[in-house]
Amino acid sequence: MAEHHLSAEEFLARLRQLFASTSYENHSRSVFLTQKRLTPHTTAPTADSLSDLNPTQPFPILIRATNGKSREKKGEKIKLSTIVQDSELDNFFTRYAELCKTGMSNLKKRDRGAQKAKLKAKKEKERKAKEAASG
Amino acid sequence: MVLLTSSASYLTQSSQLISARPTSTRITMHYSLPRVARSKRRATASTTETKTKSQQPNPASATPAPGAPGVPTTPSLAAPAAILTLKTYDPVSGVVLQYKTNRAAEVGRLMGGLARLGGVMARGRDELDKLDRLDKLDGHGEQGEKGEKGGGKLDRLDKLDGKDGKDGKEGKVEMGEVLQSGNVAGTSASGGGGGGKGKRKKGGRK
Repeated sequence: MAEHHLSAEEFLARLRQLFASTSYENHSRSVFLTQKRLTPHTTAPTADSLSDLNPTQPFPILIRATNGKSREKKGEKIKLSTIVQDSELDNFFTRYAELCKTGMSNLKKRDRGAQKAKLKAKKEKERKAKEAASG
Repeated sequence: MVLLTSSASYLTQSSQLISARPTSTRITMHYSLPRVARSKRRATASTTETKTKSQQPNPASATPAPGAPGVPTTPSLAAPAAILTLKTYDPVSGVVLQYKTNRAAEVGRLMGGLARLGGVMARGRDELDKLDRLDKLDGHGEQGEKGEKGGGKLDRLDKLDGKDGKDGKEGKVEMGEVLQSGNVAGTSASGGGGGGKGKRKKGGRK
């Protein structure tokens, strides 16, 4: 199947939309992100099976994103992919990470409520003690 | 399948797996919102409401005082937290490493780790050795988000390479031997010294 790889900018923009479209209400509750080394299909198996361990030149990375729809719901399936060259890897990942952080908004936030309540109770206690001492 | 309990061990073991099988290993991140039945959602919302009403002495005030006993401070009761699952899978050896979390605070750290693993995928084992030594140089553990800033550190690393480049080579040879003997799961990070937790279970529960 012919795949159309997007540019990094377009991929990130579409991924943002994909994250935005997830909700508890509708039927798109998932985002799948995959990363793997992109090796050319034409490479014939060489005698040296360990040649991939010490590559002479860096490989690009293939990043994919889908909403995980099955074959039955082919019409709703969203598939995005991009190829990141080694030199752009750091730059891409900074933006990618930022996007994921904002996109995954339904994860549990750090619970500061309990701490605040405790602090408030403590202050209240001190205030009452003061009142009792003065009154 | 191995479900790891800490993100640090997930990242270390994944980097070992990727450096052993860089071509076939892939990392999948699954962000999912749990299914909530509509009836349940409504029920939870209504109980929250009645609770709030019964405990509020003055019903005229629309917003309940936060922190008051019994009153939930966040309206997130109806919507359970999303789950983030990270999986490193090598189809050739069948090794699966998994890590699950529901905490937003961890995303940044995990993404930093994935960036490093991406580097290992692109450049092979050399990258891992480099990163390990950078971490040691900086004196912090394996999840150093600062480790990627490069710059001046790379110069220091070049100096380091001059000193113990030989060690790195020996490490690679050992890796090769381990691989050929088919024991991918238990590869110890020789040379680089990642310090994994010994042998992983291979092909346990799937």
